Formats: sequence, structure tokens, C-alpha cells
Amino acid sequence: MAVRVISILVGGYALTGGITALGGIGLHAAGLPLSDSMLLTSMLGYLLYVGIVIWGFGAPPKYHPSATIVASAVATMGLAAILSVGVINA
Amino acid sequence: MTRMDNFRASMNWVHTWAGVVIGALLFAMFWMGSLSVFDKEIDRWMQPESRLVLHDQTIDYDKAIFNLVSGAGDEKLLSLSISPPSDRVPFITAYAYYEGSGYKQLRLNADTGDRIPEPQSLAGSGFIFPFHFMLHIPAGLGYWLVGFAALAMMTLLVTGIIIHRKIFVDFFTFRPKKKIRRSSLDLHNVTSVLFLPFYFLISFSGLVIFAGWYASLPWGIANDLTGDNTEQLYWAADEYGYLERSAAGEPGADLVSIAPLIAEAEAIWTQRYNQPAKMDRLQVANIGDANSYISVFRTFPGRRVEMGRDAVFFDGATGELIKDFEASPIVVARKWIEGFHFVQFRHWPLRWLYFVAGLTGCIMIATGFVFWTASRRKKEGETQPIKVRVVEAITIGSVTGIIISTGVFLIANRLIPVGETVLGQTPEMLEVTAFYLAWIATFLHASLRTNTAWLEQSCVIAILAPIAVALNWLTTGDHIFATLSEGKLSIFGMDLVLIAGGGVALMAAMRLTENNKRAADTARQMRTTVQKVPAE
Repeated sequence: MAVRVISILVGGYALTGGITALGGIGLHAAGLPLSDSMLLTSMLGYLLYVGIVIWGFGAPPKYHPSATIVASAVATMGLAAILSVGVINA
Repeated sequence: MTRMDNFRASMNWVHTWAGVVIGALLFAMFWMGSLSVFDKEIDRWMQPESRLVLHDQTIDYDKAIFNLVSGAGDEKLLSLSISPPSDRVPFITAYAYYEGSGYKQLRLNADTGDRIPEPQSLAGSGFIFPFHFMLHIPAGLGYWLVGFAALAMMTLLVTGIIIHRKIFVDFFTFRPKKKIRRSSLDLHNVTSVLFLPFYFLISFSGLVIFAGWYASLPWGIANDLTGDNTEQLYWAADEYGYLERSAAGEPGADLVSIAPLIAEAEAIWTQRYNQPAKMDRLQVANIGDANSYISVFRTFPGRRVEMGRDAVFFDGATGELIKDFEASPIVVARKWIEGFHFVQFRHWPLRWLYFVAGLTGCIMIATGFVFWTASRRKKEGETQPIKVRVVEAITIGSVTGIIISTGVFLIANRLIPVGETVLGQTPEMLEVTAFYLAWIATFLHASLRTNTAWLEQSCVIAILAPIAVALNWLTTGDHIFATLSEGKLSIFGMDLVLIAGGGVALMAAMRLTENNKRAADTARQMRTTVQKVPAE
């Protein structure tokens, strides 16, 4: 239970961070200044986090919510890190 | 069970445990946040030397700046930020940055330009206001706890809506004469729905204010992989329009007169927004240097909600306009959300509504707790397992306890003589120590006397509040009729709220006495019945 709670809460934060970074980098690539694009996605990120936590606790077990969250967090953050080098330093 | 029932059951679980674990922290934030709505008024009450009455007059900024620069003595004044008086702050506030000793806050009488004696108290804006967003816990831990609690609050609100099927009916249901479990749930539902959008937005906007802190993970990823921190300046320039102009290292000409620059900036804004605009902060940077510059800001624009978007920069020696900052639409959106939280617009009825909504949030959190403990008692009988007792003690300490310690904070402020140090602690530190000692005491009391602690602590609040009002009168001579007639409305309001608060605590105490008596009667009846049974 403790592992599940922590992976949803902390993993959810990391996943929010990953999606926020990806979205910000995407909007920046589409032409928005970096500060604007990151600000916009970070503000929306708070709402996203609440959604992720609710899904994490409420989704049926067949989706393995906590594992899915942690895995997506790693994936999105890794992708954002790779892209940010490409987009921002291009 | 259908899928929806399953989902509702897990949301109920999240709502219950998030509430039990985070509720005490949320109550502290809501209590201190509600008080922060009137932080400046608390400042006036706790810093009697600043209880000035403002006269309408123009301020000679050139003279004020000259006095501060020449008055710096041996220390070199590098930059200076000046805010004119307002209807809530009846004096000029200046932040001076000295080469050796760093930042210092100075308060100047708006009529005479004289320095107002140093404050002896952290009061509202130095203790209560920061408490609600960082808990005075060092190393950033307080910020993380508060951020987590704000996210938990939004989650609690959403899960609360999900688990309730009959929001509309519940909203009109309040059964105060029923058992405590029933009436606390009714009150929890009513107070939740009443200001639901407010609770959600106040949590969300608080998080948006600290986006630079809480979103440091994605910002770090997107921003700083190369280890190059020039991006930091980029943020500041885009968001706040900061001017990047460091000192040249060569002496410069004297500063130009400020008044025409203010007029120029205000004319720019008046034209842009098509309504009269007033500056509320003035900054002089690189004083004495060839690269000196003057910034004119409009951070809290009167009747508008959004804040911090207007800034005009002038060269210090020539008065030439260097930069007129206009924020991007997304920055303006953020400023609006921040402004919603900071409540710095000039609108007294709305300010009171924030206060009422915040306190209603306190009731929502407290009744949620009471419902949980009452339900547990019902389920597990009167044996009260230790976890229920622990939660109840934490509840009492974090609800009535923090109110008591706030009262002790105010009373300590009026009792500690100016300039007195005890064990190396200055008066402002002593007040804070009194606050924490009182708070710890309420937790101890609540854990030792769980059954009567609600009642006893309510009685303490009912006693402390009028004592604070009386002490204010005795130590400063400002009783409610004097403050009303002299126009010191912040003090008048503070005293009135204290009296009203004491009255509410007294009513609560009377109600609790009645309940305890009724409970005792029921218990006695049950005992008699039980004793009679074997005899028959």
C-alpha cells in the first residue's frame, strides 16, 4: 500500500513534470518564447497532477495504475531531456 | 458493485485519508491565510508606533531619496525602493540596499519624512503571512509541504464532489440538533459547496505564485541542461520586465527630479488602459554610478485584479526613457491568477468576503475531522482505539490550538516591553516563542483530556480575545471609540473582530457544555438500565 501511494504521489509529480516539459518544449518549437510556453504548461500541470492522482487511485487494477504512472514518468522526462538539448540549443 | 461504485469507493478512501493526514496542515494554512487578508491591519495593531492617520498630500520623492542617500553615513547606499502610503499602509515604505549590510526596511512618516521607530514585532506581514505559505520551516521544506497540501486540497475537493451524489439536497440540509456525527457532516457539506470555486482557485493560484519553485523540475529540464544560467535573466526579463543594467563602476551625475518621470509613466499607462493609473513603487538602482536608473512600477493596480505587469525604466542622470515593459498575454494571465490570491486590489467588501470564505474553509476542514472521529467512535464503540484518540488530539490542537496560540501571540505583543530582551531574544522573537509554546501546550492538553479539550480550549479563546482588546486599550490608549473617532479603522476593525471571535468561541463553549451534559445523561441512563437487568 505504501509503495502504491508513494509511486502515485511522487511518480505523478515526475509524470506531471515530464509532460509539462514536453509541452513547453513543443510550444517553444511552435514559436512561443520559452518563458511563456513553460509558464503555460506549468500552470496547467497542477490540474494535470490532480487528474493523475485521481486516475492513479481510481483506475481499475487491470491498468496497473501506479506502475503505468512511474513508467510514463521515466519515459516523458527522458524524452523531454533529449528534446530540450535539440530544441533549445538548436 | 458497478464500476462507478468501485470508483466512488476508492475516491472515498482517498478523500478520507488525504483529509486525515493533510487536514491539520490545511487548517493551519487556511487560518493563517485568512488572517493574511488583513495582514497590514494586524501590523498596525501589533506595531503601535505605525498607527498613523494619513493626510492627503503629495510626496516629495527627490527630498526623500536625498535624505536616505545622505543619511546612509559611512555605508554606501546602492539601491532604493520606495512605496508611497496607501489606504492600508499609512506611511512611506522604503527598502534600502547597502553595500555592506544588505537590505533594510525603513518606514517614513508621509507628512514629515522622519523615520518611524523600528518595529518590535514581525506581526501580520512578517509572521502570519509567511506562515501560510512556508510554515517557517527552513531549507525549503515548508514550501514543499504547503505545495503538497495545496495539491491535496484540490484533490480533496474533486474527490469530495465525486463521492457526493446529492450535492444540491445536501447543500440545503443542516441538522444542528442531531447527533454530532450528523450535524458535522451537514456543516462539512454546506461549507464545502458554499465556497467551492474559491477553495479550488485559492489553492490553484497559490501554486501558480510559486511555479518557479514547484515546477523547477520541468523548468530545469527545459532550461538549464547546459549548466548555463543566463536563462534565469531571460525569465525575469520576460516576466517582470527587469532591466539588465549593471553598474559601470564610474561615478555618475546627480539624479534627475523624479516627479516628471512618475507623471510620464502614469501617462503611458493611463493611455494604454484608458483609465487613470497610479504608480505604487519606485526604484532607484546603481545610485551614484554612471549607469544609475529609475524604475517606476504599478504592481497593485487599484481596482484591477492582475498585478505586477507595468514597469517603465528611465536613465537616472538624463531621465531618458530606456524601456517600457509590456507583458505577454500568458504572463498577464499568470499575473491575474496571482492577483486573485494576493488580494491587493482596493475593494473592501471583497476583502471581507475573502476573509469569510477563508474562515468558512477552516470550518469545512474542522468539521471533516470531527465527522471522521465521530464515525470511528460509532463504529468502534466508546473504547476509542489509540489512532482515533491521536487524530482527535491532533485535530483539537490544530483547530482551537492554533487559534489560542494566535491569541497568545497578540497578547504577548502587548505585554512584552519595547526593547526588552529575555535570554537573548528580542521582543519580536519572544512573541514567536510564545506562539509556539502555546501551540505545543494545546496539543499536550488535547492529548491528555481528549473528551473535554474542545470545550476547555473554546473557553480559553473566549477569554483570550477580550483580554487582547483590553490590553490594547491599556497599553496604547486606543479603545474602540477612540480608534473609530480618530479614523484608525484598522485598529477598530481588529478589536471588533477579536470581540466577535471571542463571542463565537463563547457560544461554541456553551453549546459544547450542553452536548456534554446530554451525553452524560444518556450514559447514566444506559448504566441504570444495565444495572437493572440482572436484578430482574
